[in-house]
Parts: sequence; structure tokens; C-alpha cells
Amino acid sequence: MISPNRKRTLPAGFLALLFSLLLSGCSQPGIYGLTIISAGELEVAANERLHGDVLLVDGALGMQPGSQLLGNLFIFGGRADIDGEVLGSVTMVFGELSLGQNAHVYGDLLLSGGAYAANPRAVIEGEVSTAETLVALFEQEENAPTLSLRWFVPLGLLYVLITYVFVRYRPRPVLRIQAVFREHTLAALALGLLGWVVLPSLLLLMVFTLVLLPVALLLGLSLLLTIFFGWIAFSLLLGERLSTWLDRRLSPETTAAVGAGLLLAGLYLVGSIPLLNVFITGLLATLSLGAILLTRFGLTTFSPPVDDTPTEMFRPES
Amino acid sequence: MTLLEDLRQRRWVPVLGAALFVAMMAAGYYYNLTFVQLGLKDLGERVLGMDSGQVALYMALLAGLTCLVSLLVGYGMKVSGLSASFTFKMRMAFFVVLAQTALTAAVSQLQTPAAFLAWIVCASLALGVGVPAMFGLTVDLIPRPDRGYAAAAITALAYFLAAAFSGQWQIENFSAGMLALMLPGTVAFGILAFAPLPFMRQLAQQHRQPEYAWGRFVRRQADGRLTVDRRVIVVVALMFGIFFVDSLGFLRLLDTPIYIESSWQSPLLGVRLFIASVHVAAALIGGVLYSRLHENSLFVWIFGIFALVHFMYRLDARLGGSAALGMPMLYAIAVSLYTVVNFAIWADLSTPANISFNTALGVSLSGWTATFLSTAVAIQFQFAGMPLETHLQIVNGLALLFFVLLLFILFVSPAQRKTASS
Repeated sequence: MISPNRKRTLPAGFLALLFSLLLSGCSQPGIYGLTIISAGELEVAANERLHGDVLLVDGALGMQPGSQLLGNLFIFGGRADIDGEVLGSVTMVFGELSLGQNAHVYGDLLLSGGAYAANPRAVIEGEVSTAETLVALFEQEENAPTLSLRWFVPLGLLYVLITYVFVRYRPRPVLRIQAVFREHTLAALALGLLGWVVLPSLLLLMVFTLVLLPVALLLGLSLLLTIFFGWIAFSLLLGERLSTWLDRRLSPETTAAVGAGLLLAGLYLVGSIPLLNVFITGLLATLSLGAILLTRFGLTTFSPPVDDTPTEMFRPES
Repeated sequence: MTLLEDLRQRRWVPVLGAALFVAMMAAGYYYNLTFVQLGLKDLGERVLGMDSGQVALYMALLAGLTCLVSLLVGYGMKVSGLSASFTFKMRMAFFVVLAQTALTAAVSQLQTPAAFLAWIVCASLALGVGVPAMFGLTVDLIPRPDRGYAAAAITALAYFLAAAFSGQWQIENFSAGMLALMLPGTVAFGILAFAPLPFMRQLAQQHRQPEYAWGRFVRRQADGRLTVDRRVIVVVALMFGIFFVDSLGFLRLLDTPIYIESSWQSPLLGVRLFIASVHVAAALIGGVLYSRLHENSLFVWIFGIFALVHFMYRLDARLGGSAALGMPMLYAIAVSLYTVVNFAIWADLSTPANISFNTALGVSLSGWTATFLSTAVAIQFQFAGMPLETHLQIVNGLALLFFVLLLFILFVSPAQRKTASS
């Protein structure tokens, strides 16, 4: 049981942590800036430094030889002529990017669209990724079952172990989420769908503001955890169904571990069927998010509003 | 679902009654969304050559008069006991539909602003009577467990038709389309309202059954009194806030071609179908969640999404206006969710004895009054030369305020703490 003093310090501690996270997006060596170019032209002259990240939405950015950008460059439109140094990465979604002979990018170059031209003497120290290479990488992963199995087995065992430990030492949250899967499937599905549409939009917006990037990372991590948490609850549900079918009584943690193994085996088998794997993974993720939201990460038992209405017939004088 | 059970058991009368209600309300809401809110604006500005400020004033007058008439009629029905009479409500609804058909046909004859003003007054009378009459039929035709789903069906139908098939937002298109629907509809409605049909007599008795009569929030106290707790005041206030935020924001977006022409008025059928589909999906989600969640949770999502989407519009406007489809998508979700709540909640706060007045209070006071006030505020902003970003910033701030307040209530209220300890 948590002591009253500790109860009071917990919310304060959480707020302090959240505040620190928010501030961490603004720290760095004392100077932080974000330059947004939505029209016109910004020319960075030789020996001039531009602090912070640059977001090019429209207009033009020019960097002369000897100039420096002490941050990342994001191109969503417009034109960037780089002949200086970019200490961070360059990402282009739309627009035009040209790297001159003196251009030096210390980070990665990610091109998912737009027009790109580079002088052969331009230097890119990080990785260069284009939309085509990303697709090729994805297809390579898809077509390499032996490679994925080599990772799948140890990761799968780790997942089964985590499931066992979680259900052993923290069964109540899992049971609450499991109850939602069993008794309130439609509500979990509806809320999960709503969550998956709205929360990623919020996440993207936070990333866009840059100052909320740490909060966005936290939110992104939370979304991943909901899937993981939901899988654990679903594993317990699967294990219980199997136990009932086999008429065997096992401890909850063993039941969950068996269910986890079943779940992983099932996901591996359907993984090779193109649309079905997406559908089943998506369905699980949606149900998990819905159940997590309904139970507030397993902290409360979800129950719909109670129907306490009168049961007698209506009479006009009532 | 009670109606699903009726369907399985082949009890067709309740199912037909529900279908009648859904069709009637969907048609009425579609009329309101297209002809009233968009068509009249076009009539005043393009056809009659009035300036937008004057048109906005006329629309504000429409909203205000409708609210007044609705409250008077609703109260009158409550004190006279006619609120519980299915036959009376059906006949009133028929006359409303008849009047609206005549007004729709007459709109093409309007030549002057004075004639338009007279038309507005007549339309207010019809709409004002229609609200307590038509919404009042919920307790007769939709059982309590299915009100969320019925509201979802109405919302999905109305918005799908409005988003996908509205074409050019011109009064001629709207009135032609509505007349094609209303003329046969009026005849059919007349037969149902006045002909001594056996299944209509059966429907007239449905409101006595407990699953129809008592709204979800109605309680019998120990002393025998029927009460609805303070929720009704809170819900009216919250719905007012939602209507106000939506109307104030959308009025400004409506005057920003880049946002309207890339979404609701896009020449691409695919874009309009996408938005229409989002409306349908969100309505269905809203229907499920209305039945399963505490209503405050749904309000949190609605205000949260409104805050998010107005912030996105504001940021987009500041960065040059890319008009990404994600913004109208989120907007459509928020609108569908609150429309589902609006169609279901007033009956759930009522009994047959008071539904007409409660509906008038809710729909008119929150909906029409909010529209009236937000239109007046929007005119004021326009005359002050307020830029789009600032306008959206204010709307965003309002939505965020409600969102934060509701979050606080949700996590701090005694009922929620009691749930958290289980």
C-alpha cells in the first residue's frame, strides 16, 4: 500500500519529469532556433552560421561555400541550393535539393520525393536513403524468411518470458484488459480505431513543432507499449481458451506464456499471407489500444454506464 | 440491441418505426446541412447580391427565431400533455414537412432582400415547430439501448449524402434535389400521419414501454419522484460549446477557398467520397461509444479533436496553406461524433412527458443559439479585419479550454475516482 505522503509526491514527481522532458527539447548548447521558410529567399553567406534546424516549406534557401547550418534541414517544398556545411541530416519530402561541389552533409540524406541533384564532389557522411532503397530494403526483409526466423525465435522467447513475468507479478492490469477483450470487444474496437486515427496525427504535429519532440517520443513509445500490453492480455485469453479446450488447469502465468507461444506461432504463420497479416496485426493493435484507453493502461476496471432506469410502464401522470 | 432482437423475432412494427424515424431525421438533417446552412448563404450573396455581413445577420435571425419558437412550442407541448402523444407529434411533423416543401419551392421566386427576410421568418416558424415535434418522436420509435445506433445511422446517412453528392453549393441545386425528395416524402408522411393504419396505432403505444419511455439518465428517487440529475445543464453547456466552436471555426474556413475547394467542395469525387466515408465511419464509432462510455469521455474526444484540427489549420495557414486532407478528415470525425451525441442525448435525458421541451431546450438553446452567437462573432471578426490565423487561434483556444476542463473533471471527479479504485 502506498503511504499518503508518497501518494502526494507521485503526481508532483510525474509533473517534474514531464516538465524536464518538455524542457529537454529546448536545451542544447544554450542556443536553439528553428527557421521556417515559407516564402522569399534566405541566403547564408560565406562564414555565416545558421543555428538550429531549418524547415523549408516554400521559397528558397541558399548556402554559399564556407557557410554552416548547425542543425537539420527538412524540405517540404521550395528549393535548397547547398554549397556549405550541414552539421545535421537533410530530409526531403517535396521540393528541390541541389548539392554543390563544396557541399558537406555530416548526417544522413533521406529523400522520399522531390527533385535531387548532387555534384560528384559533394560529401555525404551518413547514409543516403531514397524511397526506392527503403522499399527494396522492406522487400528484402519480406523475402528472407530464414533471416527473420533467426531473429524471430530469440525475440519470441523473450516475449514469452516477459509475458510470464508480467502476469506473475502484475496480473491485475492484464486481467482488466483481458476482460475488455472478452466482454467489450466492440467498444474496444471503436475506441481503438478512433485512437489510431487521432493519436498519430497528434504525434506528427508534435514532431513538427520540434519543441514537443520529447513528448512525441513518449507518446510514440506509449503507443508501442499499448500494442505490447495488449498482446500480453490476448496471450492470456488464448492460453485460457486452450486450457479449457484441453481441460487442463495451469497457473495464470503459465497459461499466459503458453498463449504467448500460440500467438507468436499464429502471427508467424499468417505473416507470409500478404493481406491477412496486415489485417490481423492491425486488428490486434486496434483492440489493444481501445482496451488500454478503456482501462487507462490497466489501472481501472472498465464498466459501461449502469442502466438504473425505472422498469415500470409509462403513465401520463408519472 | 432491442431492435436487433425484434428483427430476429420478426417483430416488424418496431423495426419499421425505427426505420421511419431514421429516414425522417436523416432527410431533415440533410435539408438543414445543405439547403439551410449553405443554400441560403448562396441565395443571399450570389442571387440577391447582398453583402456577406447582411446575409450572416439574416442567418443569425433565423437561428434566434427558431430557438424562440422551438422553446415556446416545446413548453406548450409539455404543459398540455401533447409531448407524449405520438399522433399529435406525427401530424405536427407532417405540417412542418409540408411547410418546408412549400418554402423550398418558393425560394426560387425570391427577388429582393425584403422577400428573403419574410421567407426567413416563415422558415424559422417551420423549423421551430419541427424540432420538438420530430426529436420528440425518439421516445416513441427508438428504444433506449439503440439510441446511439439510430443516431449513428442518421448522422452517417445525412453526412454521406451531403459530403459526397452535394455538387456545387448553389441554391438551385439544393432546392431541386430537396424537392425531388420532399414531394413524395410529404405525401407518404401525410398518409402515415392521418390514415388509420394498424401498425401506426401500435407505434402510438410504444412510448409506454419502459425501454422507450425512460431515458438513460432518468432515475426514480426514493420518494417516487422522477429526476434527471444536473447532467442536463452540463450537457446543454457542453453542446453549446461544441456547436459554438464548430460553427465559429467552419464559418471562417468556408470563406477560405484553398481549404474548402481541396476538401468538401473538391472537384474530385474521390476526395468527397473519402470525406463522406470518414463521416460514416466516425458516426458508427460514435454510435458504439455513446452506448458504452460515460458521456464526458465522448465530449473529451470531441473537444480534443476540435482543438487538434484547428491548431493544424492555423499552422497550415501560417506555413502557406498546403491544405492536406488530414485536416478535413479529423474535422469530419469530430463533427460526426457530436452529431451522434446530439441526436441521442436529449431523449436520454427525458420521458415522453417532457421530451418536447427538453429537446427544444437542448437543440435550440445549444445548437441554434450557438449558431446565432457564433455568426454574430464571426461578423464582428470580419469587420475588424481579423486574419485567418488569429480567428483560428481563438477557436483553438476555446476548444482547448473545454478539453482541459473536461479532462480535469474526468480524472478528478468523485465518480471517476470511485471507478479508478476498483
